[in-house]
Amino acid sequence: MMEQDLHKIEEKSIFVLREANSKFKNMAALWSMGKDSTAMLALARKAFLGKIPFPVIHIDNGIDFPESYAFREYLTKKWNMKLIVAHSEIKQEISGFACCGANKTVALKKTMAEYGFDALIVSIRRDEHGIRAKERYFSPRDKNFKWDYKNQPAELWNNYASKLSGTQHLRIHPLLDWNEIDVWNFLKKEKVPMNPLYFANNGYRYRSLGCTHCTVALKSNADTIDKIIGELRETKVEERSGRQQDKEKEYIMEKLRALGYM
Amino acid sequence: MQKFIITMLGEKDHGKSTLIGNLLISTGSTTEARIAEVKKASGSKRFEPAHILDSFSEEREQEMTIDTTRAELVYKNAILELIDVPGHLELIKNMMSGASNSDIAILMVSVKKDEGFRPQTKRHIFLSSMFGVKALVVAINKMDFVNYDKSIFEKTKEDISKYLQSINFKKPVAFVPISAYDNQNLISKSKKIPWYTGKPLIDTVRYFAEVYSKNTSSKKGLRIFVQDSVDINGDTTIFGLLYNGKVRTNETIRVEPDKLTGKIEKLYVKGKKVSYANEGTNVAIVLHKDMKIEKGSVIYGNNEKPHKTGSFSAKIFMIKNFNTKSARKFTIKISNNNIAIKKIKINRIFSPISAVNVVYDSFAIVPANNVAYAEISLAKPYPVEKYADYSELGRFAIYENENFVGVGIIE
Repeated sequence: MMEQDLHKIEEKSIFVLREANSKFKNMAALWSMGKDSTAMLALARKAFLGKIPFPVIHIDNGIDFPESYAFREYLTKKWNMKLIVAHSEIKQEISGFACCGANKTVALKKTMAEYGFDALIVSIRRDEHGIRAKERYFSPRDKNFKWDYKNQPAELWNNYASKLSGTQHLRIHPLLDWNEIDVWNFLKKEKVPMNPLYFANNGYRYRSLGCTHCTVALKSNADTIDKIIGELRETKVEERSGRQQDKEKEYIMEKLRALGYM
Repeated sequence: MQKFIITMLGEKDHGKSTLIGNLLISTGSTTEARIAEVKKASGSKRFEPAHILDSFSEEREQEMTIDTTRAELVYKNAILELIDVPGHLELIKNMMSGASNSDIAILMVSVKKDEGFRPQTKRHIFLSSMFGVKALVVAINKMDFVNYDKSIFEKTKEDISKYLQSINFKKPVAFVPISAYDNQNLISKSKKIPWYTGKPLIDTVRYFAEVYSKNTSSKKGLRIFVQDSVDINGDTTIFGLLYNGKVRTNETIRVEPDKLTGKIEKLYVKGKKVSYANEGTNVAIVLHKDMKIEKGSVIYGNNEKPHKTGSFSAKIFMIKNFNTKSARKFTIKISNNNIAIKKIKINRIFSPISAVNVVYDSFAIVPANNVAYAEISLAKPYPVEKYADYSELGRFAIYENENFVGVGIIE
C-alpha cells in the first residue's frame, strides 16, 4: 500500500479546511467516530489552532457499536466539540442499500435543513472506491443531495467551487488525497485517541466501521497501530470488504452516492 | 515515498484508461477484489482493463471516461499518480482540472486506421504546453492493429514532432511504441517490437518524472495567499498559504493590493508556534498591530511590489465561444480569488490546430478552441505576476456568469 509524504498531504488538507471555513458561513462536519473523520478533526484542530470552529454531526441510527458511543462522548468532551446527533429512524430494512440510502440520508437531510448548513465536510478518500476517485475537494449537491458527476465544476489549482444557482450545499473533502495507510501513520504521529474496535480482540478487528448490522470484522492480530500499518503494507484485500452496502450488487456505491450518501 | 503526478492526454478511444488499467494490474497496484469486481461486472463480454478505472455503469456501457479519475501505482520506489481525463471536446474543463497540478504528461496517440494524430490531440498538447508541462512522453498506441510496423510509428512521430515545432514546444519529448490492450512495451520490452531500442513506457515515464519534475522556479520572493482573518483567543489571526519563499517572526511584510505594511509578532504552522515557516506550508500570522486584512489579499516581502495590479496582458485558451460585446458578466478566478473583469480587449487570435494567427469580426469574437492575446482590466486591483515568475499568481480561469469559458496565463 502506498505511503505518502504526510507533510504534503496534511498541508493540502489544512488549506482545504481553511478555505471552506472562510468561504461558507454555516458549515458542519460528519463524524462517524471512525478513523478517517477522527483524523480530519485532529487536522482541523491543527488548522484552527486548537479549537474546531464548526459543529460535528453524528448520524445515529441507534445501532452503532457501544464502543463507538463511548468514544463519541469521550472525544466530544476532550476536544470541546459541538456535537449534533442526527437521529435516523429505521423505517426500511436494517441492512445495506436501503439502510444507508434511505435511513441515514433522510436523517442527514433533515438535520441539514434544520440548521441551514451550506457546507458539509465529509472525510472520504479517493483510494476507498472507484467512484470516490472522481470527487473534487469542493463538490456541489442539489436540493435532493444529488451529485451531478457528469457536470462537475472545474477545480483549477487552488480555486474551488462556490455556491451556484441550484446548489443546496457543498461537500468538502479534505482527505481526498489520503490513502488508508496515511491515515494510520498520521493517527500514530499525532497520538490521536482511537475507537478501540480497530484493534484486534480475540483474533478479530474492524478495518472499516459502519454500524453493527452491516460491518464484519476481519481476522487479525493487529492490536497496535504499528501492527495495523504492518498488516496494511502486506494486504491485498480491499478496505471496505467488511461493508455490506458495497457488496449487494455492482454499481451500488454509484447509486448510493446519487441519493446523497457519503 | 516520492510521488509524481502525471496527466494522461489524448483523444477518446485512443486507449488512456486501458493503459492505466493494465499498468495497475501489471505493477500489482490494484487488488484482486477490484479485478474480480470488473470481471464480474463485465459478464460475458471481454475483460476490459479500462474498467479498473471507469467505475460508473455509464462509463462501462458507453466505453468512455466521465470526468477525471486518479490512479496510483508504485514503481521502483516511487508513486506515480496517473490522472485519467476524458478525451472528448466538451470535457476539456475536466482535463484542465486534472492537468493543472501535473508536471509530466503521457500523450496517447492511436495508429489504428481512422484514429491517428487528430485536432483534439493538438489542443491537449497546446494546453499542456501553455500551462508548463515539463516533459512529454508520447505513447504511440494500438501498434497491434498495424502489425507493429516501424514505418507507421516513424510517420506518426514525424507528424507530432512537426506540430510541436510549429507551436514552439521546447520541452523534452520521448516517443514509445506500445499496445496498451495487449500489454506490449508497457513494463517490459516487447519481443514484437524488436526495432525499438528505447526503454519500455513505464521506465521512460519514471525516468522523465525523476529528471524533469523538479521545481525550476528561481524566484524566491515571499507570497502568501490570505484565506481568512479570525479572532483566536483575542488575537486577530491571519490564515494563509505560504506559496513561495520563507517568512519569519519580526519580519516586516507588505499586503497587496491595499499596500499596508505590518510586522509579524506570532507565527504558527500546523497549530504549533514557530519562528520561521517554509514554502508550501499553511501559516497563521498575528501582527504586532491589528490591521484589517481582506480575504484574497496577497502578502509580499516589504521591499517587493507586484508585477501588475489593475490591468495586464494575457494569453487565453477559449473553451467556449467568447464575445467581448456580450452583456454578461466576466470574472477571473485567480489563486483563491474571484474578481470581476471591467474590460477585455483582444489584440490577436491564434489557432492551435492550424498554428497560425486568425481574424474574426475585428477581434470582438473568439471562437472556442482558439487562443486570444488580450488586455484585461479588472474591476478592482489585484496583485498579479507573470506566469513564468509565480505560476499561481499568473494563471487564471475566465467565467462568463457561472460558466467556465477559458483558461489563461499572464505575460
